[in-house]
Amino acid sequence: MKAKIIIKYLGFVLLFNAIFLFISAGISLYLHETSYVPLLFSAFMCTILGTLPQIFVETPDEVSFHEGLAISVLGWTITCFVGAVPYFMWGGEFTFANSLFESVSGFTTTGASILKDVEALPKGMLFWRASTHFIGGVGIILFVLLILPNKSGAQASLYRSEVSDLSMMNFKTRTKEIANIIVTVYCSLIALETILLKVFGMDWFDAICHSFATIATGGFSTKNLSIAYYDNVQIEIIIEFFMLISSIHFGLIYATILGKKLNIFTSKITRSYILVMAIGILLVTLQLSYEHVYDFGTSLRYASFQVISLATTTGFATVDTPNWPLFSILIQIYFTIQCGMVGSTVGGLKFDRVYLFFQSLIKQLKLAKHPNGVYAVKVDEMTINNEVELQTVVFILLYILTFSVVALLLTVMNIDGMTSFSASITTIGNAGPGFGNVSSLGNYAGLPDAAKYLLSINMLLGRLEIVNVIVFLTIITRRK
Amino acid sequence: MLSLKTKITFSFALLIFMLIVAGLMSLSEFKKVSSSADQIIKNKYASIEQSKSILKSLEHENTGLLMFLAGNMEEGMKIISESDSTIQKIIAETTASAIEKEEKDYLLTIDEEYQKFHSSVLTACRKANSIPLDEKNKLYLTEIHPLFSSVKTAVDVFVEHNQENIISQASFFSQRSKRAIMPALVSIIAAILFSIILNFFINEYFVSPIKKITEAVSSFYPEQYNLNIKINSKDEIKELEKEINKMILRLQRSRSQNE
Repeated sequence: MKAKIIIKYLGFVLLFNAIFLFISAGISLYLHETSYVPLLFSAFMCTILGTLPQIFVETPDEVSFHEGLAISVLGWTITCFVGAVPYFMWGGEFTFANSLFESVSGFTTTGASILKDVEALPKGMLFWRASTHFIGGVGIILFVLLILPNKSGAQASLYRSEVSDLSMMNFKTRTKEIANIIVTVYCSLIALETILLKVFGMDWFDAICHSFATIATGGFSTKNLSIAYYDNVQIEIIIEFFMLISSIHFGLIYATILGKKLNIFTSKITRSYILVMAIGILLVTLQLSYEHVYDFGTSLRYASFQVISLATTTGFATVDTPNWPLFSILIQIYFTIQCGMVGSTVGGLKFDRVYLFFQSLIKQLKLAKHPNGVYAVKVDEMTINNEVELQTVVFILLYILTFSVVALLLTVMNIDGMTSFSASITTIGNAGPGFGNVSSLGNYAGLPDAAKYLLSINMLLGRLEIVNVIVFLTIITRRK
Repeated sequence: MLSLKTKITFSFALLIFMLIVAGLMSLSEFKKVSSSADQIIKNKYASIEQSKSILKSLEHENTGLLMFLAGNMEEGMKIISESDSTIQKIIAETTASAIEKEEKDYLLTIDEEYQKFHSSVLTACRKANSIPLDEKNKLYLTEIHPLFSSVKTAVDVFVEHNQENIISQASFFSQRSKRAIMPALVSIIAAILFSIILNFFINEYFVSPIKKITEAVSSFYPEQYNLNIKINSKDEIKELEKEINKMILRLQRSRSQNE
């Protein structure tokens, strides 16, 4: 591992952050807000620190997988710290722990907030908060990939370190093209949603910020009441549609637009994903209307929004859900664990792994019945090899182990069981709001600082897919 | 690729630029904080002082009325009219210099209450000759004194508002000054990081290659045709390595020609 190569790419990461900091500072200056000072200053610091490695280090011909992994893990970590600087400089509700939590939550597209009064923040700062979702949505390393020259040998390693093997399944093209496809789909969806939200009643600023949060499946709103503030069914339907689309493999969305054979409608795994979500919405709707929490129409409205919001790990809210019946809460917790599909902007466990796990389980049961039989696990006509099957099971076990340990550590800090459990699940799944004291319209401000640091690590682990972090730490300790 | 001199100059220029930006931003914030703090504190202090003057003049006017009712009419009326003009002047000045709308609303209330009091004083003065002493006392106690108390209460509320405002402004300024310190604080951390990275690059691109060349020269043996080292950069150090290798070749050639 060559430190200078890693530092060079970390410099790119800082420069990319600087672009959005400058835009946010520009908005602040335009609106005569005092928040331009922390934003502009952070932008300058990022530019200076990011430029230094570019002066010394030439673009390398090759980046090894280990270097790619280090760039990815350190890039995300540095980005989260850099993102916290404007908040910390602004002060108010932003202590250091709160600033870091808000920044990690933004970049990992978790959407969990410590802010009690979001609307009190100046617009420049709100735009930076939304920008962290935009940058984190497809991953900052992917943006770095776009600016690398075509012949650079760094692309494959960087891409492999940022995107899981499972995500590459629906892509049959070169790394740079994949990055182009992802970013094109991402930006097109944001543009389309912004226009629709504007048409149906939001102002331009709110429409852009909410589109960043929807397509990145983040969940930061510019309003204290989140989407409930608008109380507008059309806006809710638009956001539901885009949350759903953003949680589907971007390769499949692109294939659908191009009219390819394997698309959203023909993909078995996508159909299963939507079917499971539809069943979840139906069950919650039936219980809410049966128990007279709301009438059928209102139950359907709230259930569909909340289930889609949690299943896609977005975390927007139209209603505070802790008062819902237990069964409905449990269904929502299940969806928070399941998360969206690989190759999209969602974090966490991901539906594909759950799907593969059950396919693998069926295979093992068949093998137990017919030991000499030959069975294969298939996803959309692609045969999954045993190695990927094993990786999936290991990942699921690591995921369960991590959120259990984090939940246990939270209870040690005198946080009640429901809050600890749901905070741990929703942060590792990058979903955002949980239940208990961290419910849909609540926030994480009341948790102790130690819990905020722990949950920040949990969010990063969820975004970096745990295994990458473990491998990186193994490499570092082995070198020592 | 940039030369060594350009790299170093550019790096230090970046560091200086960073420190200048931090310094200017901190200074500008401090200047803004101190000027607005100065303005607000002076304004609030002046409001409180003027409120005290209103109260003093009000007491004077009250004394003037009592003197008038007691029979010292000329002196009493003089005090009443002097106090009235002082109060009117203070209210007008304070309203003109008021920064917030709330402050203006409080002053409007004081003015309204005072106008009621003053007109009751003038009415009492007009009636004074035609009513007996106990009637005068009754008039003062039932009609004028409550209005006098209302004006005092309105002025007290205004003073209280200004005092509370100074306390709340103090916490606002404490936060603003914390913000003003932040660029300096963050730039110290950034400068430390910058120095660590710069130190790493100087070691990687200058010290380490020079050490390599020194070691290669010291362990050089006559049969060698080059220094046998690998310099990755494309700067003056690479040029030095190339030149040494060329020199070795020239020496080897001249030695073989001599032999």
